[in-house]
Amino acid sequence: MKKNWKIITSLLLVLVLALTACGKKEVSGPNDEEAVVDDGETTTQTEDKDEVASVGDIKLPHPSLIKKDGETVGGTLNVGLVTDTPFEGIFNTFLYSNNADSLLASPMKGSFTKGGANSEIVDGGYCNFEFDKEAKTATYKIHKDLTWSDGVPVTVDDIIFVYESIAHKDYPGVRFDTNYRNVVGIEEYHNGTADSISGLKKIDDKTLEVSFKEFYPGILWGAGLTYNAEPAHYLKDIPLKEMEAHEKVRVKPLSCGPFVVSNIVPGESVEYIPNPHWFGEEPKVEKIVYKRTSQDTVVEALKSGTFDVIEDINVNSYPEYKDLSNITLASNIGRSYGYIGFKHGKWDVEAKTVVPDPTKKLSDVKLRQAIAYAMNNEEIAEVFYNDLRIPANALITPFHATFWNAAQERYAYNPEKAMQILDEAGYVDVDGDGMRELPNGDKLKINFLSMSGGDIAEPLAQFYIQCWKDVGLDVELQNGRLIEMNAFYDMVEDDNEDIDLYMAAWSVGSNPEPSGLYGREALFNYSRYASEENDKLIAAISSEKAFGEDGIDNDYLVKAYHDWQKYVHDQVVVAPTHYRVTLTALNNRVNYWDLNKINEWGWEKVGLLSDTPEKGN
Amino acid sequence: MWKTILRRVLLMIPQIIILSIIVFILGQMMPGDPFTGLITPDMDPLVIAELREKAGLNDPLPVQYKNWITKILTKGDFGLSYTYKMPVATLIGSRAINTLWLSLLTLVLTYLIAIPLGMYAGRYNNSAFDKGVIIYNFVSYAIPQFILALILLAIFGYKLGWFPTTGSVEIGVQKGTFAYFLSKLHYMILPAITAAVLRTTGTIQYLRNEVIDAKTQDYVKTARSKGVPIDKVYSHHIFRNSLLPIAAFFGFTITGLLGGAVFIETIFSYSGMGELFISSITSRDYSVMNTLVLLFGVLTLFGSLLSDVIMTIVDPRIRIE
Repeated sequence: MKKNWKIITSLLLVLVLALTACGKKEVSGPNDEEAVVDDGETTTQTEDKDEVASVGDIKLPHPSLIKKDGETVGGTLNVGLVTDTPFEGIFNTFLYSNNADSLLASPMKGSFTKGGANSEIVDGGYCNFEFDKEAKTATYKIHKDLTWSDGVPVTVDDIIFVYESIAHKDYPGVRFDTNYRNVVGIEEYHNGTADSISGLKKIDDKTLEVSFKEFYPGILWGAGLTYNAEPAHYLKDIPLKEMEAHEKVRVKPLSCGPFVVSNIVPGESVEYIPNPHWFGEEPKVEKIVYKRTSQDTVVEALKSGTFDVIEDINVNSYPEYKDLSNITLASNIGRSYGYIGFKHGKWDVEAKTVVPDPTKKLSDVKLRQAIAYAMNNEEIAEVFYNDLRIPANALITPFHATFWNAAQERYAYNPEKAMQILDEAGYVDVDGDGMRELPNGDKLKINFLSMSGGDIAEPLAQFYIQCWKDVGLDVELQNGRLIEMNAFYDMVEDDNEDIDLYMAAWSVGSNPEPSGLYGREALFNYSRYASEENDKLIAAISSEKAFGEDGIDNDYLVKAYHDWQKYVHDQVVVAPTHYRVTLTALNNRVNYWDLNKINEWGWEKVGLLSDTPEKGN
Repeated sequence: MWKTILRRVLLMIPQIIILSIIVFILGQMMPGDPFTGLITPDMDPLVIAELREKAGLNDPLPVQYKNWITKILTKGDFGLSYTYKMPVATLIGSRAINTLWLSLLTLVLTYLIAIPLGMYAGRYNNSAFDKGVIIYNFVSYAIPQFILALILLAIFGYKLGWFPTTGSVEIGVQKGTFAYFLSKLHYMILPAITAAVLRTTGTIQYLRNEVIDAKTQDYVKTARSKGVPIDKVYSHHIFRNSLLPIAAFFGFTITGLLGGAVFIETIFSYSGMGELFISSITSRDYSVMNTLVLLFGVLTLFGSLLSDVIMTIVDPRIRIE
């Protein structure tokens, strides 16, 4: 018996060890990358024929468009999917919920809907839309030749099927949100009091009109609309509860895009062949093979030509692959930003609203401005991120280039100014310990919550702390250590009493509208900032005035966005730190890639210029 | 002996129940839940709240435990994986197969390398060969597994191109055919060698020491004086006795094999149990995590039983009553 207890005890020990050995999760955090090596070299453009791409004043290190002339040879395009965990492999657009599955589905999805300069829906996809503000309707117009890979035409039934699945009471996914609930009759269908959704009106086989209860600008970005059809004839007999695990979703999905899945090794690799029933241009390669690969070996893999494409390659190993002779890099601005958050108040769980608290340590805007001026984001971008992060000036990213105010002056590193502001506001060192006290003479001790994960998390947090110490602010890591991701979000969401400052990041959606992150009623408003002016400015963005004669009134909306950006900037609601550059690595034999948001690119247009991949040295 | 085995098996029941309770409570005590990772601005907080409610995560712990354990006991249903959205049993099954094959190959390679090396090093101890083996032992023990994996990958995978570098099988090969088996083997060789090299160290060391010990034992002298040729003394008398410590650990070795190897699985992108266990913990995939800990617990208990049984078989001096 004694021996058995030993076994249990040792098992428990192993478990406890495993529990403390925390890992990464796919949630946007500031520190979710691995080692950074700074080789001291500046970025140089190796391909002199490429023009340097830029967004606003931001110069990108590599072009966004790679296009090479020459005959293509067919062949197999090998794409690497860099992930530590096997992919889930749910090939269904209303069921999948992670990035890897979305990437894997892209050769099949093609561009069912097309995005414009601000990621709003525009004409040019396989399905176009017509919006009617007065009638509160959006109308799907599916291309007449669009056909599933089994030869059955895509019809509005396939769209209705998506709505009915999402609104079904057994729906296991994450998409039945307030936007979908805005469709007329969908709640009744969800509650089981109606057999169909009354707001969906089939005009003909290829035209579907959707009626909304309220018509707000977000609908132009697809709020309450589906970006994809799913084959009703193929899937409708499968109970929703079983659909995620079903063979027709996991192994034999249908496609209406340029490619269709031909083989799958679950969690590991997917092979695609051209969709024989596709209406568009004939694909240039005979096969695409997506293969999961590890971050640890991706540079070697690129060098040996194992992969032709690595999308969104990790920027931390940039110095190791940037000079490889056999690859071409494409770059663009990502849609996420890092920020330092201040706790301004609390979340009222009952009332579901933010309650500002003017007694919070950092409620003085002067203090927040000083904190922002003290942060040396320029050096961090250079030293920690090889200049693949760009010091941020606003809470709208350059990804939404029209709405982002490129001209807004950021809190550039200026410790003298920070100290001057603090002096003027009365934060001076009275007890002579080198650290400033509150204007009333009390000690000012600021707690900083930072997330663990990756090799640079700790030095990065310490760097910021040192920046603040340099101007006389006594900032310390909360609990004296970094906090694991889940615990971090638990603490931030619960407004843990001790948090004054925290470091996090957001990846923004296609619609940059800020109410979900900074609105008074937004749970994700983690800094818990609310003011009447802020409410007003956010309301202006989502107001009806944003509708112009034909779609968006850009002049109005740009001004509304700029006004809000200026307000949150002046108030330092949070202090944005960096925007991110995303990179895609291509073997030199790949002829065409385009990371620009508006482009004519599609998987069918990617070709290979030679039978064998180029090897690097 | 059968009585003893039965008694041990019966004793396992309360052990497993206690284990399941502890595992469940510890799991739920971790910050976050399977839906924490879903947070993006595109995600409606209401949807997340609804998912939590649907999954029963808002119920009190005892209720959650009851629901979980009842399903397992009555229907054999371990639930759905939150991450992979498929039945836990299916998921673990698919990974276990991979890990099992890799482990078996590792085991075979380990013994193929370790037993001859250990035997000869012990037989000719202090020879040049022995010293070579000792150096090999030091190196293989000291080198971190993931470094070795990276080196082997860089040379035999990328440079020479002899072996595939990621995955567990070639895509498009028909399941169940001989080609499928060959492809699996081809994909397993590099990871298996990496894992085997580390495992050989202990086995070689044990064997070598045992053989050196045995050389001076009375039964060896007796055998020699009776005129048994030296080779036969080694292959029959000493070999069998020296295997005792290895046999004693064999039960645990088998259990350990199913646990998988996180580093190797990650570097070679080989989908196995080790990776599944760690990622289920970090993503708070409770259903998978709890099932795996239970599974490992049960395996460990059986492993210790198996070790005892093996001991009685190979060592006539030991009898469990």
